[in-house]
This record gives sequence, structure tokens and C-alpha cells, in this order.
Amino acid sequence: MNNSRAIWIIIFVFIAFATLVARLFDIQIIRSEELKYYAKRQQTIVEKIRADRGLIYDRNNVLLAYNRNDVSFFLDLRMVSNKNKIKIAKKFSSVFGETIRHYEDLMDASGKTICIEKKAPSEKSNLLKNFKVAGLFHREDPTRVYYYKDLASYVLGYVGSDYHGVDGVSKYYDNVLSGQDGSMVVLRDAVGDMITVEEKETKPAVPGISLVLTIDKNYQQILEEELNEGVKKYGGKSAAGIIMDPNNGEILALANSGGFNPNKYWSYSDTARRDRAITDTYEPGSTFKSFSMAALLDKNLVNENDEVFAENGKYKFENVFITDAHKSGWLSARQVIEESSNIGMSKLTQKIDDDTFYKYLRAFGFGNYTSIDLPGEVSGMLRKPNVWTPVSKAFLSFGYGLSVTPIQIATAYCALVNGGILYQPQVVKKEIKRDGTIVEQDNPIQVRRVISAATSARIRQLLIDVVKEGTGTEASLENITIGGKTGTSQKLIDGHYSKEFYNSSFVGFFPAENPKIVCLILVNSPTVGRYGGLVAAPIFKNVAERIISMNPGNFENYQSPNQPEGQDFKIVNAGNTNNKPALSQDKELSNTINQSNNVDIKSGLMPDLSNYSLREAISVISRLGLKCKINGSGKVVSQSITPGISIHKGALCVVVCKEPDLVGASVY
Amino acid sequence: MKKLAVIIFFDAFILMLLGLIIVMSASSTYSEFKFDSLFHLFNYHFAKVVVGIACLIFFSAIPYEIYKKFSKAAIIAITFLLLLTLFIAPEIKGAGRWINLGFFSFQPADIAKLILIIHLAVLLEVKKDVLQNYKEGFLYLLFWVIVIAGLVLAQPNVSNGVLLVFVSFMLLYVGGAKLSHLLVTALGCLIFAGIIAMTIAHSRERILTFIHAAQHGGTANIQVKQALLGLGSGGIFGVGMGHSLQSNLFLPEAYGDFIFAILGEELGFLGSVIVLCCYLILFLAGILVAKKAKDKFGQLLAFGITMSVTIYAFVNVAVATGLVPTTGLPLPFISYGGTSLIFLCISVGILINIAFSSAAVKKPINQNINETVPA
Repeated sequence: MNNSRAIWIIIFVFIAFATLVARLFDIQIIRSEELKYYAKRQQTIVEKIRADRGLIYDRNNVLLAYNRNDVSFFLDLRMVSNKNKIKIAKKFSSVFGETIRHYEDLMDASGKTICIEKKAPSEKSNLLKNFKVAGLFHREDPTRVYYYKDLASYVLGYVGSDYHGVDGVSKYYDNVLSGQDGSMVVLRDAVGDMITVEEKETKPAVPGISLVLTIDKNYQQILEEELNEGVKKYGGKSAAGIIMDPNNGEILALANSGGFNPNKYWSYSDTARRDRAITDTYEPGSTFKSFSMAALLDKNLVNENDEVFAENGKYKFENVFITDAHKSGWLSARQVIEESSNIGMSKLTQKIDDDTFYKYLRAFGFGNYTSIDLPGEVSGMLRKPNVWTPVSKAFLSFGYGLSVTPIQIATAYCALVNGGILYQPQVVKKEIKRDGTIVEQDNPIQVRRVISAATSARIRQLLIDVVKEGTGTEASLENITIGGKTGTSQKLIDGHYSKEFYNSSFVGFFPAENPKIVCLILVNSPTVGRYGGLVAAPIFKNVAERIISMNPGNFENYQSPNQPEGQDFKIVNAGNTNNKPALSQDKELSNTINQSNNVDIKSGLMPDLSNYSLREAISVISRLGLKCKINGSGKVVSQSITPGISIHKGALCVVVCKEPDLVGASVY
Repeated sequence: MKKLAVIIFFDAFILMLLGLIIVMSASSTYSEFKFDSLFHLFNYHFAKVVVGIACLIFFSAIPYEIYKKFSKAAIIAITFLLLLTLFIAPEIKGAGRWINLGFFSFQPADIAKLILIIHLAVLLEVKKDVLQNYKEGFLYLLFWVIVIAGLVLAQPNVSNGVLLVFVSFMLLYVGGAKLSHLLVTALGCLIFAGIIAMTIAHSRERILTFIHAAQHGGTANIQVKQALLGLGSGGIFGVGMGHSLQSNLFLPEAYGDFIFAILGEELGFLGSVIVLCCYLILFLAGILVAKKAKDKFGQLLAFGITMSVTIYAFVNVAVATGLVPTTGLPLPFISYGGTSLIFLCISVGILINIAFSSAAVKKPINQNINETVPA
């Protein structure tokens, strides 16, 4: 061996290895951070932790919707040996009760990954906790459970396959219910399988907010049962019903006949899942006469005892025939409502001018969204006076020539009987966290004053008479005063009013002297009875009877008929969750109500009473120790003692009032 | 000399032990994924290591002079075996390299490497007087290098073939061949190897991607890229034994030719350098064994074996760190290697035997060589 040559080779080898060390130094020390970053990026994935969806309760904290922690099992067929397939089939068969053959057939599929068992409940999946086979993996796959199945399904809605709300409050409050998904860093291999979870970098999910509905589960159940019973009995195509608290606009129950089970929403048609109470319009017919009468009374154009000739059942008006179901001669205004005379109503309505009439109808919310916190609401249709024909007003007066939704009628009736205030209907009472702390209290929202409290009281009396001795006697109950109005409208089919198909409805309220419940029943195309008084009124009666018998104490000790205006009002919560545009008058109205209590009595200076309601003005003036004389009615427009001047007790203050001008308030 | 034998034995033993651990870590995910068992590949490797150590001990007991008698017959036999391989071996990854004997399959190239080193050592001793003569001496040696390396190249196994030529030339250089002969032949070989490498599709691809990557500052291919990510993740101290994440199927065949990346990830820069030092110690010990061998055959055989192990270790690490184009060469003692590990152990067994033999004969022979072979 040549020593010097060997030395050259040793040197050569040392240089070579030194190069390697230098290279390693570069990779493992200098570029380490950079390479580590890329390595980590491929070795880890950020996985979503699904936030637990908020629960849904009824107003008495009965749980209506919750989540079940189901688990779905999947197989990566590429990783499962034939021996293991048999093992899996046997195990799954013993746990889930399906045949072994069933699972073998599933595993014969050509796909790479198959779902072998979908949404297995936890008591079953726990049995598989220790069953580990390569290629078998599971994923949390929660199921939304609507405990009472069909109950309140139209209000609750349902969640789709992506666990987001599709209808009802589930959709309207989806952002609230969903919560915030968390994330975790998962170590994975090149094939994507999870190896382990990096605890330190896990961000937990924030569970969704729970909803407390205004719905009363028991009322809801009663309403649904009675609607279905009614449809069976009277042969209607469908029926819708709404129960509301007139004093705050809360929906206590909202139902459509038929119903659907949100747990299995996919097995129902879109039609079956549609909330007809807010999405379908109809011509209201005679139930609408109450609004016409309210406008006339509120404007002092008609008195209950004013007489009108009902033409014995047939009246030619501007070349169009108006007919009555009950042929009558002379009728008082009271009797027009009691007997539901179209002719009488259309004649009386000629006393009010088109614009004013239209403004009243708009003020009641027709032709406009009620802004209920449910998706899919429609506005119906109310034409403006400038496109009215000579007969439009007459027909509108008894509920033809416009379209409304059941929720609009129910909401407007609330305003009609509660003292004149229109409330925004709502189905969510409050939003709470899991520990019960309130996130958002959804207070009643006053939209506007529509009629005076006095008019409201007069209308209540008229509607009490309807049930006592008019078309609504089928709705009467022994121990409680019921008020209400029937409605029967021919259905408009292909441009002609059908002689065969009717919408039969009844809107009632009780206790009539101080209404706590307003209930609308609408039956579509009944084949037995047809008239609202014969179809919808009995259904209403059954509902009312059951509600009262459930808790008689609630309805017995009613207050005096002269319910003070604004007694139950709470101040409008400006930060309500509704996104729809609020009317400018909303604020005005609430300010007004505020003012009467905020007036500085002690300063000894005369306050500015403008825009005060009559009642409020009287209250303030008497507290100031002044005598008062009122001219007109409505809101204060001027006062004889200039604001800011010091008061002499016992002095006389003349206050001039005017009806609130609704121009521009509701039309936009 | 006994000390050197012990050093070599334990050096190889430690590397094989380390290999067992790293193979376990690097192959478990793949084994689980492919064979439903974490230990599938490890068990095979473990068996090979046991057989390898047995072979190592067995061959260290056989006097190396015996090979002189069989070298010519062996090299003729292996030539036929290589020819046979060309026709019957099944194609794996575009190269027909393997012979399957049913109970085990092996690469004839692995045996050919050992036999060529033995035969060249024999010839260098036999022809030492006519070595300076091109036709009489040098060409005779070159003939076998070209035959064996040529057949390996033709398989086609470019990387093994090129390294075979390289080790042979080292041997000829140290064995006293004329420098001018070597340089001219090397130049010829280089041109020829270049042509061969560029005609064979998969080696051309590897070389071109390497050149392309080197020009554009990127990394050659997915394996090298993943290997660098593994090495880089290791940092100075490594992620710890068995904690490799790159072995979770990111680095293809992490337990084989790219095992150094997993080693570097788990043991870090310090561990990597220590492993390189192990190879250097083996190299130096081998050179000392060669220097102190009792005859020229022993010297050259020891040198050839040492050189072969060292070059393979270097090239493997150079590939894993992206210094040279990707080759299919295992990391000696550590890679999940199959039969090449067994032949490697046989080589080391022979090396140890040479160390023992020279220890037995304490006669200084170095001067003789210096006299006969002028620098």
C-alpha cells in the first residue's frame, strides 16, 4: 500500500465528511426554523370544534329543542383487510341490530371511504369505544332534537345537514344559536389520519345562546290539536291559528294544520313545511269590518246607533252588486257589525274619505311587514287610494280587494282591543346563556298608536255583542266574556270569486273587558259549514275553553272595562335585535309616554305639553295644581299658559288637542 | 491489532443497534398503514441484523487468505450471475436488480462489489511487478472493473455501478497503479458513465431534476424536500428518539435510503455528526488495519472494504442532504437493507479477520511495500 497515496485518500475522505457536517450545520441549525415551519404546516391541520347549538325553551322554560351527541362511524376501505371487515360486520351487527350481511354489503362499495353507521346515539357508540380496527374512525355528528316532534314546528323551524337553521327561529336567530366554533391543532400523517391533538393550541368553542320563546307549549298544543280536529271535522284544506297576548305582541302559539316533524324535515314537502300563518295571504272578508268601523268611530263619523238601510240583502253600488248573507232592512251601526252586513258596512264607510281610510288601514299594519322575528314573512297587498276604483273603498270595508296574512290580522286585532297600540309581534322573549344569565331581553316593541283608547273600548263592546247575539254566537262561553268577529271570504280563483271555496275565519279575544288573549283561526276551504261563524268560531271556542280551564285563575278577576291607556307599556328597547327599519314615529310615541312621568313638577314652571296625549296632559296639569279645560281630542297642539312661565296654583289652562296626523307615519 | 478489531466490531454493532431503533421509528407508521402491524418491517430488519452479526462473527473466523484461491472462479461465476440477472430478474422501479431464490431475494450487485474488491486485491498483489505496464498489468485489472461495473450499470443500476468504478479506482490508486493510466481511464470512464447515465431514463431524470433544482435554488424532488424538512425539524438536539413526525408517511421510504433524514430529525445536528464520526472512526480503523496487514492482499482487501463502506455512507448522507442527485444506496448498518446488510456484515467480518491475522504476525511489513512500490 502506498502510504502517501493513502494519506491523500484520508484527506479526501475528511474533506468529504467535513462537507457533510457543514451541510448539516446549514440545514439543521441555520435553516432549522424555516424548515420546521414548513414541516409543521404539513404535519398539522387546524380542525374545527363545532360549537354546541343554543337550546330553545318555551316561555315557561320547557325545553323544546336540544342537541344529542351522536357519533357517525366511517371506514377507509383501503386500510381495512378482509379479515377485519368480517370483524367489523359482526361487531356492528351485535351493537346496532342490523344483519351481518347488511354491513358486508356496505363494505362492498367501491368508494374509498364509506359511512357505515350514521348518527349513532351515544349509548350505542359507547359500546364501540374500545373497538379499534385500522381504517375505522368516527366523528362527532350531533343531532338536533325537537323533543315534542310536530309541536311548534313552524316557529322552531329545523336545521339542515350543515347544522344551520333553515326555517323558523332556527333560521332567524341562527347567528345567535350557532355560537362560535373553536379550533384545535391536530397532528396528522401524510394520508390525513389524526395522530394526536396539540392541547396547548386548542381554542375551545363558544356554545350558542339559548332562546326563550314567547310560545306557551300548552297553548301551542291546544291550538294544534284543535286546528287538526277542526280540519277533520269541517273538511278544510288547511287551517292556521295564532294566539297572541294583545298587551305586548307576544305570540303565545302559532300553528298550521298538518304540521311537520322537524326531526325528519326531509320527508315533508316544501308546502307542508311552509309557515302559512305568515307566508300565505288571503282576503280577510268580514273580520276586516272591525278595522273599518274603528276608523269611523275614531274619527267620530259614525255612532253605534246610527242607522243604515241594508237594502234587504242586495245592493247595486256603482254598477256592482253587493250582497248580504243575512237579508236585513234598517240596521244600526252596531247591528251592521253583529250581523256582518256588507251592504251596511260599505254604506257607512262612504262617510270617511279615501286617504283617511287608507291611513288607518296602513296604521293597522296592512300592506306592510309586521316585522315578526320569523323568516319568510310577506307584506300582503293594500293599494294606494290614487289607484282605487269608485268601489274600492266599499269592498275594502268588508275585507275584499286586499290581501293580508293571518299574522297581520292577529296583530291588528291586538291593537284594536288593547287600547289602540300596535305592537310588533314577536316569538322570542329573551336570549340566555347556558348558566341562565340573560344576554338580551326582547321587550315589547310598540309600533304606533292607531286608535284612541276610547275607540278601542267601543270596538271591544261591539265585538262582545257579535259573540253575544250576532254571527259569532258559536264562540261564546259561559263563564267569560268573549269578543270576536267572524269572516267568510270567497276565494279568488282564476280571477273569479269562487262560490265553492271560502276562507272561513274567526278572530276572538278574552276576557273581553280586559283582553289577555287574542286568537285567530283561519280555515281554508271548509266543505262543512263554510261560514266563519260555523267553522272557525267553534274551533276558537274549543281553544278558548281549554286555555281557560287549564288556568282559570288567570282569566277570572279581570279589571274594570276602562283600562287605562298604556298601563302595561314598557319602554321600547331601542337596541332590539330586529334589523328591519323602525318607524320614526316609534320613538316619538315612546318619548311621549316617557314625558308624562318625567315632567318636572316641583320647578314651578309650566312644562311644554305639546304632543302629549289628552290623558297625559290632564294628568300633568292636575299634578301642577291647575284647572284645565280641554278643546278637541288626541294630542296637545297648543296650551294657554306659555311653557317656561311660573305657575299660579288654581289658574286655568286651556289645552287644544288634535287627532294625531298619520300622514307619512306608516306610508313609506 | 486486537484493539482495532474490537473498535471495528463495536462501531458496526452500535450503528446496527441505532439502526434498529431508527428503523423501528421510521417504519412503524408505514407498517401499520400497509401491513396492519407496527412491527412488520422492523421484524424483518431485526432478523437481518441477527443473521448479519452471525455472518460477521463467522467470517471474522475464516482466514482471509482462502479467498485468494477462489477469487477468479468467484468473479467468473458472478459475471454469469449478473448476465443471468439481466434476463430473468423482475423489474423493480425500472431496474432489474434482484434475484429471487424463493426464501430470499438479493441484489447480485452486492456480492459482485465484494468479489470485485477481493479479486482486484488478488490481482494487485499478483501483478505488482507488471502493474506499471499498461497492457500487461493495468489493462488486466481494468478488464474486470469494466466487466463487473458494466454489467451492474447495464441492469441498469447506475449509482452502484459508478461507485463500484470509484472504489476500484481508489484501490488501483492505492495499490500502486500508474497515475497517468488512472487519469486517462478515469476520463474515459467519466465520459462513458455520463453517456450511460443520460441514456437511462430514470437516472437521467434524477440528474436533470438535480441540476434544475440546483440552478433554481429549490430542492430536487419530493423525497429530498421531505428529507430536508425532517433534518431541519431536528435542529441541534433533535425531537427525540421515536418522535419523528416526518416518518408519518411524509417521507417516502423513510426507513430505507432516506433513513438519515429521520435520524437527523430525531437526534438533531449533534446526533447526526456523532453518527458521521462513527463512520469516520470505522474508516480510520479500517485504514490502520490495512496499514498493519501482514501482506499486500490483506492490505488492499482491508482498504477496499473500508473504502466501500465509507463511500456508501458518504453518498447516502450526501443524497439525504441534497448535495448529490438521488441514488438508491442504503446507509450502511442503519438502513432497512435486506440482504445488502448481510453482505456488508460479511465484508466487516473479513476486515476483522485481517485485523486479527496481522495481530498474530508481528512482523513489520510496511517497509517492504514502500520499497517495491515507489511513490
